Amino acid sequence: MIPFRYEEAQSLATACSKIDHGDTMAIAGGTTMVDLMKMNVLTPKSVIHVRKVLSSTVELRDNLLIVGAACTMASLADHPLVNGKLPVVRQSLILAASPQIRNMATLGGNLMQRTRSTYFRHTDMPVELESTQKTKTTKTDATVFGDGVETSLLAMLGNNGKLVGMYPGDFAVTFVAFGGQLVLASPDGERMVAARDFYQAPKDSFQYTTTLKPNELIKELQLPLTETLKNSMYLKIRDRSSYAFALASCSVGLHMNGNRILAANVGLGGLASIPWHSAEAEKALVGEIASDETFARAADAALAQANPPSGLEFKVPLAKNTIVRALQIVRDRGPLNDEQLWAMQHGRG
Amino acid sequence: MTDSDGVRRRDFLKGVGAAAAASGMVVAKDKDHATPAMDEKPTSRSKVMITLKLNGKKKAFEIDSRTTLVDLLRESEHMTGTKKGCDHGACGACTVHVNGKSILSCLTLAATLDGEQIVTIEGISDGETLHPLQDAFLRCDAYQCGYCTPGQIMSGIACIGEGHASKSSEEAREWMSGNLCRCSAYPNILAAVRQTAGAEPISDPAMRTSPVSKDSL
Repeated sequence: MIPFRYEEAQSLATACSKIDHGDTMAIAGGTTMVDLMKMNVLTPKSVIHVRKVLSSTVELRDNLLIVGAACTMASLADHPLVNGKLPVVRQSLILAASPQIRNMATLGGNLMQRTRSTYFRHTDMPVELESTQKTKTTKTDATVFGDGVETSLLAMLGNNGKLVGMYPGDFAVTFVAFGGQLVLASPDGERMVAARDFYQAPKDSFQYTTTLKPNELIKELQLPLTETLKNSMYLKIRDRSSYAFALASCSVGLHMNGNRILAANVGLGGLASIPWHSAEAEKALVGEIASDETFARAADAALAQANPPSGLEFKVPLAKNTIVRALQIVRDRGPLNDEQLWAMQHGRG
Repeated sequence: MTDSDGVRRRDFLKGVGAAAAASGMVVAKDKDHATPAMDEKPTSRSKVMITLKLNGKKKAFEIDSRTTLVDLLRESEHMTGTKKGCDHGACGACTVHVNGKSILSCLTLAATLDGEQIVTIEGISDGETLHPLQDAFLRCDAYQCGYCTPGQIMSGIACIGEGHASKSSEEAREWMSGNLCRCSAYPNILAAVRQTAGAEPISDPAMRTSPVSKDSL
């Protein structure tokens, strides 16, 4: 790790005025940041610990769930406003990482999680992979688009036809799917930004960017308490049944009247450069009868723009089946409790 | 812990290391592969003063800002019970408790813990009386090489304390999933944790006469 100056933030305002997310970075839980600093991927000159100047409370206000940015993943998952009440929120937290990491990681940091691709995490690896696209001449798209490239942690949605890193997180998928908003603090005051606008699919960079400016910090998360949020689930498909990143995941919620869908939310994880909100899938669901055929059409719509690099083609049917299965579970069984979730995760029903 | 002849295992290992160095067995540092900036000396600007309550005792430290908690414990305090496995948050061998919550000491900058309460594997027994989960690990033979054991026990204590060990075995497995065991002693680790939580009768899994139930695998 490169030597850096360490400072305990005295107030949110003074911390914001110093932090530029480059030479001077904020640290809270540190679960990703310390790891990346050890590998010299991140080499800040100065690190400011902001955990103690950010709120970690969870409360209800004007039908919004308000979460302080320093609240840990574990605290939010176990909070009485979430546990047993907002299934997709709890599930996208407790199916992520490990208990130790969930005790450390704050929600503000979790939303800013970096890609796990080795092309970002290993400093000897060329990150400018998109250049392989520019040099294509006689080769077919399929060979250029992943020939000799380790694609397992790259994106197949929101990649603009380039080899870009996949967003690996879980909670942010729920946050974008269900219309979460961020309160960003700066020395000039505060501003609100929708999570769906906060994440920007990469254009020239290897992974997503955000609209967070230098001197700004995530202060608060707000989630509207919709009917769909109460009848929801997070389905995560992975190589091993726990402590692994998603191969494909989805956050879904349905508001039904009889068998007709009045409102729907769909988000996808493990597939895209950003936590992916599928407006296409939602459009295919709303107003329709909640049949398997409707669900299949929604899944097709969600993946219509998929552009998988070589080796990731299997994720297209995997993602479609994940969406259909999650919607079927919500329709047929309603929201799952923890016991049902563990039984399903471990192949017992 | 001492052997019958009074030689501490760690002192013995240190002696072996010193002998190896003296006989030239330690390979000189490969300059070509060192990142130049890595050799940069920490400046006074990167020193941090912190106070920790470590296994109940308050102690002040002057540390380099880069020091992770696992390095502070092992290198400064010579508390080598906490193990450094992957050093990247993937294995759980370095698990300790901060303010009663299990965390990974390898991904925690010690500087961020000023004023916090730390409990390590050295702090869970009552003198020579082992913690019930330590007893259970002995009874259940819940290890082979033992390297992951301190982390498993710290996670196990949290898992039991938070009520995740006394419901379904799947739930206990989920809440122990941050700790890897390369020897794959998982069935016995799970038995030790669930027995201590009162979810299973106290027994030695090796003495079971009936076939192992699917539930305990």
